[in-house]
Amino acid sequence: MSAEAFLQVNNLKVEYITKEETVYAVNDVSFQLEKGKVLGLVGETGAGKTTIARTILRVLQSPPGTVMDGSIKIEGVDVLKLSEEEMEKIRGKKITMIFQDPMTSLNPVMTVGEQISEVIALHNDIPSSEVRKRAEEMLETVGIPAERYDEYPHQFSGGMKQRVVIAIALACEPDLLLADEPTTALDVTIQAQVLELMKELNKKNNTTTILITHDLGVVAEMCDDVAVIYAGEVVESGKLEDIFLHPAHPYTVGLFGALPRLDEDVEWLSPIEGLPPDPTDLPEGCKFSPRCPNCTKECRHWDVHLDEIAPGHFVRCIHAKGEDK
Amino acid sequence: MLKYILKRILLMIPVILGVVILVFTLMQLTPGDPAQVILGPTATSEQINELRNEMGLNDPYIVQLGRYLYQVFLKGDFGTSYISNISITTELMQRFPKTLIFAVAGMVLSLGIGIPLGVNAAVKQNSLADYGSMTLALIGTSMPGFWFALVLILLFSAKLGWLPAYGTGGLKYWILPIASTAFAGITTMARQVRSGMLEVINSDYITMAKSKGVSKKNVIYRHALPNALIPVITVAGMSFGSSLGGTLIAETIFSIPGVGVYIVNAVNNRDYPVVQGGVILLAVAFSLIMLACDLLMAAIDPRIKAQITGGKKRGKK
Amino acid sequence: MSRAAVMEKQSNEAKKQNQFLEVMKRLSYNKGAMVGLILFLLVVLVAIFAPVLAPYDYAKINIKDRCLAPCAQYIFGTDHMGRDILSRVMYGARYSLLIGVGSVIFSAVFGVIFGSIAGFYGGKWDNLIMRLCDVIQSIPGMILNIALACVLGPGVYNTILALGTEGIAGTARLMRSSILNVRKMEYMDAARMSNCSNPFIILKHVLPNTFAPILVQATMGVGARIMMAASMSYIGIGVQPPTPEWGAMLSDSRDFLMKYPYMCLIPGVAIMIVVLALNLLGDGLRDAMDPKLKK
Repeated sequence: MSAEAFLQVNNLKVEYITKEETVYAVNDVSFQLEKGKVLGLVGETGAGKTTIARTILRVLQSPPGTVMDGSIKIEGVDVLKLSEEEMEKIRGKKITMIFQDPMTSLNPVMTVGEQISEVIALHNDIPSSEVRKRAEEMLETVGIPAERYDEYPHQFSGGMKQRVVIAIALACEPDLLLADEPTTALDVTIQAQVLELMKELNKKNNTTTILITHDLGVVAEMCDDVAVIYAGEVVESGKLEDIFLHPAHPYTVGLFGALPRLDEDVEWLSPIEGLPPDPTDLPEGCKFSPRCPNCTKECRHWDVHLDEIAPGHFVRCIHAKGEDK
Repeated sequence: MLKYILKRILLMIPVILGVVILVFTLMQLTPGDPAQVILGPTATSEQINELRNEMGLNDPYIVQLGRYLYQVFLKGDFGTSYISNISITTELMQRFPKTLIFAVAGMVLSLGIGIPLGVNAAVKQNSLADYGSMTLALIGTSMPGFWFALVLILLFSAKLGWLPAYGTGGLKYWILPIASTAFAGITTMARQVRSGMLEVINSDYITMAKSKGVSKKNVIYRHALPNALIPVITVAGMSFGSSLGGTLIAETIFSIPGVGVYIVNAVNNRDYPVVQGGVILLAVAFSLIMLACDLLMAAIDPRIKAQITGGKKRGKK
Repeated sequence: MSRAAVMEKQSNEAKKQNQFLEVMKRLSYNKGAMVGLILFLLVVLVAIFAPVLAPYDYAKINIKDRCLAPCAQYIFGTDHMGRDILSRVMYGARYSLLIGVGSVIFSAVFGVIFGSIAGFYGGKWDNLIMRLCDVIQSIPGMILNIALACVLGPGVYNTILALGTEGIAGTARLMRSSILNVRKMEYMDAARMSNCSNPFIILKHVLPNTFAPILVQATMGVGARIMMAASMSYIGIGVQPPTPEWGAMLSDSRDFLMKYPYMCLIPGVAIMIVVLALNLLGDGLRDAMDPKLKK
């Protein structure tokens, strides 16, 4: 079944190598995604989510970022093996990305219109008047009046900028959209609007999406599948229901424990003790073991693999099997 | 925008006024008596005093300053040289084009060669080309310009005999002087552009441009370079200033009759009105270039432009 | 409240300490900066121990041995009066370093004072000082130096004074903008709330935090001043021969350029080495203090 998945990431390993140290950002990550689905990549800051997205689009900062191993197949084609020129044709057309901070992701010296037009002109062989028309349509689609085509990014608010970024990302109707915390930098009310917009456009174009976030609320609202990332590894993955209703990895359980709930009257939230491990010096055995409430001796020494505890529900924990049954 | 340009030009006036007052005051503080200089060591004290009266040197400082300002601003007259008794304004106007050719050629070369060099180094960061051009640039910024001029003379005139060592004439007389003054500018520019590019090249909007499928060349020239150049423009203006300073010495070395030689000789001869006039002229030229840089920056960067036009609106109220 | 302020101050201080160590650590990784530092220290040592190291008396005129090209007896040759160039270059390091460091310290002290007044008190003072800086900075540096040298006359100390005065405006401006940045920080409120006097705040809180840009500027500045001083000496308005300042030596060799090129090459190379060392060090410091640039 995995062979026909739209996107298939296998054993991806990415490191940031500098003179002083090596950061093990992504360690042996595999996941797959079917056409039109939305995958939520959940995890703390620094867990390696953004690195995964950048690697898929091949816009990793290199040096120091280096892909050590693995493959990323989109409809059977490994993007890691494509030449830079072939990749240029895919970027913006087939795969696009929305970045975390709309404040810095637009070029300050180009008008927003030009920035949308640019991507349209690159991937479509149409006259320039047509390009402008389409860019204006795109602005309207994301809820910005077309008259603002000739304005500069500094004249836009954060939420508006993110709309522009979304317009750029969706201008060529991509097959795969990588959304890297698209709402983190925005106000709560704007967040809802932007998410709604993304959801709508995704549905319309049947865009496959990877949504990176640390906000479980956003995941619940947007995603079909979820992969929980911890210290550059997938620690748990499955359908939305699997993860939300039957979280099996202690880290996932911990994430939910740290969330305030309205339907339960608890005096204290239970945060996960400790800090994420230093990515230059990862612990032996299970990476989560130093913070894990259920940690045993074996956890610290055994290599822990992803196990399928229910159909489509994978967990990287040696204790998980017993608990879930 | 036009209003802003006008405003900026008007704002330059007090600065220039300040420069004139400052330079005039400095020259007043200078030891030595101009009358003595003119009449020579054999003059009697009566003769000197008579001349001082005639020249108005016995008037209070403020009167002299007022007279000088009046002459400079309303008549464009910098007075006459103590030594040659020739009008300084005439002399300056005759010499200035040579100095200007020098400084402008230096700036054009430093932009034309320095920017591509810096971009190339930044794009191929840590490559051989990067290390090579940056080592060269570092050496270039570590050499005094006049010494480099001497080395050039040694190499191309004395050893190889390709180019004349000094004097004026055809194009080949200009090559060594311009090369010696431009070199420092080229290297400074290359270093600045490289660090500006490196700062920009890792920013989100560049990754964004890449993720749109923009080709590598366009990412660099359309997206990164305009942003990297904004801070570099000021540096370019400053380097025009230092190449003006550099021409002073280069003119002396290559015996080119420009403003620089005029000033240097005047300093050595204690011919103060000439020093005053020369310094003021070069300061005005420098201020105009800096003004042009500011305007260019506003033209490239819409954020700066917005500040300006925003300020204008507020001013109107 | 005051306890919070104290704690904040302590954590700030701890951070500062860490930052300093961090900067030093990053600096030590930078090969260029280390080469620069070693070269510079070597020059300093040569300058200090010139009387011990110099093979001959730098001022001793020896007409018999004049204009000798570098040989076994005189490694760098002799000048037109038969003085040993090696010894003169060694003593010259003293003058060049003195002028470079002296004028930078001069500009730094006055620049910091004026910049602090402008940045900290603002208003009328700020306006006055900044307009004065505008005027000074609209005269190209070298030209202002020449004008100042004209007023002060030649000589080592006058050259220091001229170069130092010229640099005040730049340092003051830098200091002012750093202060304006630091003023926005929260620990400034904490300091003010605990009733610190203004000069105390400047000395204790603002200066350490504006130290980095000033230090980088000063390091680069020493090199630039050494070059400027040499230029001024060369055209005869800086240090005068027979003082063995490198620029003055070059000025001395002027008439012998074609016949005895080594007389001109050697002092120039000496200048280049010092300035190169300082530029390497300055570049390294800047990169180490701005981790954003170093990738």
